[in-house]
Order: sequence, then C-alpha cells, then structure tokens
Amino acid sequence: MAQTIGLVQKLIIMPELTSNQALACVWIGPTPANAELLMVNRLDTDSSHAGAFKNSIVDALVTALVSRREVVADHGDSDALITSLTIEPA
Amino acid sequence: MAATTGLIQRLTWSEDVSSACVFIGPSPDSAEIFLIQLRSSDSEWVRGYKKSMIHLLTKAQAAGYEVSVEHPEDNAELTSVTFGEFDICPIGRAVHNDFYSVSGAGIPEDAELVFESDSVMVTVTPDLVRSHWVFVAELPSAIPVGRNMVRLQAPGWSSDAVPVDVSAGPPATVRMLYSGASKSKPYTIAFVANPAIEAEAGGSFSADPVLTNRPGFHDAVAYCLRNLLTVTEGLLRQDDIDARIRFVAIFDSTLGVSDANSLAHELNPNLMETRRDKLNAFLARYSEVADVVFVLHGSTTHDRATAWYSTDDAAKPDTTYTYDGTNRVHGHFASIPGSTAVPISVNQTGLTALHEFGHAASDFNNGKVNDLYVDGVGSGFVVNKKARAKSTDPIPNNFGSYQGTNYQSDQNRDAIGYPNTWTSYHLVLIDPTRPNMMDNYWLAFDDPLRCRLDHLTYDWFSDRLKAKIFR
Repeated sequence: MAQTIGLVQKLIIMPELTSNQALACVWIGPTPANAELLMVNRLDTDSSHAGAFKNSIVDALVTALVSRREVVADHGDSDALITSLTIEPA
Repeated sequence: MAATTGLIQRLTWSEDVSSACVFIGPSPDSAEIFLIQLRSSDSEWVRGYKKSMIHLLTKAQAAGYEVSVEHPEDNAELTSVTFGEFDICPIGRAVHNDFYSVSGAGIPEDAELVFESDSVMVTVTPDLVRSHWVFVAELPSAIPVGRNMVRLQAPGWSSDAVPVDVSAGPPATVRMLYSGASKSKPYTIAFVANPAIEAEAGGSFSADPVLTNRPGFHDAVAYCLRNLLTVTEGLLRQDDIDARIRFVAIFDSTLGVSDANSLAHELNPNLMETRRDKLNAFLARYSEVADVVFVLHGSTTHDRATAWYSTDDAAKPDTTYTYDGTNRVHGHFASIPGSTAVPISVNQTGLTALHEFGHAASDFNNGKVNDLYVDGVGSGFVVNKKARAKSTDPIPNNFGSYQGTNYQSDQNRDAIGYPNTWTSYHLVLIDPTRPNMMDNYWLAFDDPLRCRLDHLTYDWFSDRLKAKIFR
C-alpha cells in the first residue's frame, strides 16, 4: 500500500464518466505544479455502503482543499485509487 | 461539450425538480444558470457523485473559489465540476502572528505577498523566498480579518489570486510550513519550542522561557530557514532538493515542566545540548517523525548551541559508498533524529543554524562531521578531519578518497592557519578565502554567511542527503 501526502491542489468530479462508473480526480502534492493524480472511483457494482464511503472521501477532499489542510491518501502500490484518507491536524 | 468558468454567484435547491441550480459568472447580474438534477432514474452511484458535486459547489461558493463546469452544448445540466485551479497554494490557515506559507513554482526571488480585501491592500515581505515556497514568520495583524485575496507579485510577475479567510487567532500548535515530497515519511526538519530545561546536575527541570516568547520562536525559525536555504553554502538547495523536504514547527504552550517535556539539558559553563532520547516520543504526540530537530530554547545563561548526530536505522535501507577504500553506508532513515539546541537569541549574522545542522545531519556510526575550530578528531569515523601523529609532521597532500576520488588536504586552513600544537588537519575548501562553515566562521574577512564547506564534505553530504531525501 502506498501513501501520497500533501495539500489538495485540484479536484474534478464526474458523476457519469461512463455508463457504469462515477469518478473524482484529485491532485495532491506540495505545489500545484508538483502534485500526484489520484482517483476515487465509484462503480455500479459497489455496494451501497462502499459507495457511500467513497462519496464521503470525495466530500472530505473538497473540504480539505478549501481549508488548505494536508491529507494522507492511501492507494495501491501500482494504482491511483484512493482506499482511505486522513486529514491531518491544522 | 461546453465549458464555463467563473465564480458561483448563487445556489438554489428546488424540490419541485429535485435540482440544485448554480449561477456562475463574474457578478450576480452576469451569470449563467446550470443545474444538477437528481433523477429517480439515477443509479445510486450517479446520485452519490451528483450530491458530491453539489457539496463541492457549496464549498466553492463559501470559499469564493472559481469553478470550471462542463455541460452539453444544448443544455445546462452539468456533467463535471473542477475547482482549485490556482498556480499558487496557500498552506494552512491564515492567522495573525502565525507562520504562513504559500507554495508555487517559478517564484521570483523578490516576490512579495499581497493581501487584498474590500477595504485595504497589505503587502508583506516574506522572511524566505524559494522558487517553490514563500514563508512568512508572522502574518501581520494589519491584514484585515475576514476574506482577502492573496497573491504573489514581483516586478513584471504576478500569480493567481486565491481567496483566503484571515483570522485573528489562535496560532497553531503544530504548523506544517512546507509539506515536501508527497510520499510517506518525507525527509523532515522540525523546529520545536522546548518546553522544559534540565539543569546541569541533572534530574531537575525548569520551564523554558521560550514558551512565553512566541514571537522570538517564530523569528528564530525564520533565521534557521534562511541559514539552511539561502546563504552562500547551497548544500540544501542544490538541484532544488529542498522542495522535497518537509518543514514543520511545534509550539505547545500547554506543556508543563516534566522529564518527558525537557528536550534540552544545560552543560557547563554556558552550553545547551539536546536530550536526544526524548525527541521521538515528543514528536510522536503530534504525529510527526523528523530526521533533524532544532530544539529552540529561551535560556540566556546557557546560550551556546551544540548538536548531536543522527543515529541511522541500520534495519532500514541504505546507500553504500566508499571512504578511503572502506565500504560504508548512508542510512535512509534515522532511528534517533539528529538534533541541535539553538537559543532564540542566536546571533543571526552567523552560520550557527547551518553549522549545527552540519553536525546533526551527520551520523554517529556512518560518518561524523565535527568542529574544525578545535584540535583532535574525536572517536569513531569522522568525515571532515584527520590527525598527524605529531604536530610537527607535515600535512599530507592527499587527505583521502571518497567514492574513488582523491581529495587534497588544506595546508593553510584558510588564512587562520593551524596552531603549531595541533595535529589535526582539514580538507581543501570550496572557498579558500573564507573559513569552512564547520570551522570558526566568525573569522571570515567579510561575512560569515559566505562560508562554505570543503569539497569532500560537500560531496559526502550531498550524497547522504540525497539518499535520505529520495528514499
């Protein structure tokens, strides 16, 4: 499991990316020009609670961006799908 | 697909059509209307993300952020929302008298921060400017509380303006000054206001005056950062490696006098050392892990700085190198961080912070960098000095080798010269006209801040820091 730590620089939300998935793209890093692209991908096959959990992460990323808080995003070693999120103390 | 960018002037929720309507444009009278409709036919996952879009728009409106939205050419129903697209990034809350940082790219050396509100424009000269980072030690209280637009500007250059909400306080206990590399455990330098001091004899503790002098702490942090990152010796900013270093400051005025809170110990007659075995546990309370810790204290009786080397973690990865043909390693992680005790009253015209970092960032086992203004090499493996058998023996031309390259000895020790009782000798300087920064830099003929390392120590330290920073 990998971690990406930093400030949320930019966020895009696409509810109907395709016919079976919604996607949020988030850039996390120390500066706007130096940020890693990660994703929160909600699939039509996700359970209700899994989907709600993913939505909650997206909402948290929005709040972290606006409040300029550092986040810690866990994701796979070889993929960019966020599996968990921590918002660090101010 | 069409795109529209602008400020959110108005948001309305209409139950009749199960939609959130958003008005986007430069002013309330000049805005386009778009909508996000929650349909009964929407799958759960679509509905969830539409709700997140509405949440984003709500936050963006409150924060004063522009958004970019996409929609089909022939209707106003949003298909995506983007926000946060600025070329600078304010870091953390904007609080009067607290640290404040803005990150970016290509920031000119003479950049200033400009805060603009409805009533006034306040220009702030930063305490530190790097191409990726602008740092202010204390955000001026002249900046009005409430919504401001902050931007960076320099002659012929300006950044985007970002809305920020300035508050009167309180300042943060833990302040991330710059986040560094976006990975787990970036190389971290921490500045800590020391809560308590252990007396020389040991076992008794008193409150450190620094906790009643927050402005002094902030000023000292600014000095340390300038020393590390802007003086002539560019060890920490070569190839912009400092853009990958995390800097954090901790000022916890709630801490009482106790053994666990005492990070500094008085040494006879007027020195202060760190209590290095306390540092990891102390930092862990704030969920921080550091490679080097600056323990900033307020003692006026024991105000001479000292440092303790790091202890590299031998159980973690390392990078090998050779010194005089012997294989050695640069450990990537520290089991005990390097540390230095620096008074907040430090003479800011000197290289104290960088000099002490030179000790602290070296290692007990994998290479010590020692003072050059005293004789004697010290125990263990020392990188930057050697000794002759007798003071009358000639100084060898060849000092030694690092990574197979030979480095010459300094026959002259700048213009200082070696005392005739000394057996120790040093390496050829990068700047032979000024003392080594690990020597008595106060003896520089012009400005101590211009002193540099010797060639071998610079190369060794570059490799050591890069091994850690790029771990």
